[in-house]
Amino acid sequence: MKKICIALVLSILAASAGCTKAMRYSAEEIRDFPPEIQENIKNGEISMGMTMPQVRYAWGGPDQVIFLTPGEDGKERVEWLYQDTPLFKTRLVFTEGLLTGILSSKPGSIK
Amino acid sequence: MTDSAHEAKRYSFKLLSYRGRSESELEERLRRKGYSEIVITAVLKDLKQSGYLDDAALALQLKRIGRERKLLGHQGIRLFLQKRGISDDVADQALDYDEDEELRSAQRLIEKRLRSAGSRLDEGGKRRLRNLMIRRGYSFDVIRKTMKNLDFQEVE
Repeated sequence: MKKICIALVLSILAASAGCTKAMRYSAEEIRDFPPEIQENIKNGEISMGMTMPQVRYAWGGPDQVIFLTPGEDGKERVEWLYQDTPLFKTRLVFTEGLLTGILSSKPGSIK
Repeated sequence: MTDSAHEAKRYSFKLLSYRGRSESELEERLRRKGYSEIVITAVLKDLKQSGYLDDAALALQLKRIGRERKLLGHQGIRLFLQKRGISDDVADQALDYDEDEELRSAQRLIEKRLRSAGSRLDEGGKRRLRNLMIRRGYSFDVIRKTMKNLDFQEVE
């Protein structure tokens, strides 16, 4: 049983490491973004303050979109959920369209 | 904004989060959902102003998908944009014809087909490949040039 579990975990990790994702952007699609945002997108990274389209260029569309109750300031908040593998889950919170919160169990993706 | 408009905006927001959509696609989805014309117009205007609905940006995205994933020719990409509700004016701005690019794309399509056909093609296979390239919107000039290369590879 232990061997089966180890084999399962290893195969999940191998599959997630070996996956090559198609390019989500071309140079002309991101040319109007600030240079640091372009750099983030090229590296597949996200950072606070990015807009939803910018995050989509960097990471692709979310697996789930959840509308959160507005904060005390009344600002609209939306959560994007990414679940690449059963092990890694990332929640992004956008406030009024800008990335304001990242909660992730996926290492090395946040700048 | 009324409750109905607020709800329509949320619905639109959700749709736009998963993937890019053109103004006409979103309009159609809102209409199917039963929102009134006034609400639809207001929501589309709001989303355009805030930059979430941008046909020009979507056209560039679809151009890349058409070229790299679907391996379409220039006319094929134009048709793909049209089917996704991009107007001719916006498509014209996004698409500039580059024969070298179309040749590279055609070559990739041929290589892909050759891989699945076991790297050899008989006369029937060539005819089918040519028809496929026509359907994918490649120009006859590009088809002729790439098929000529194919003959050369077989002689080799």
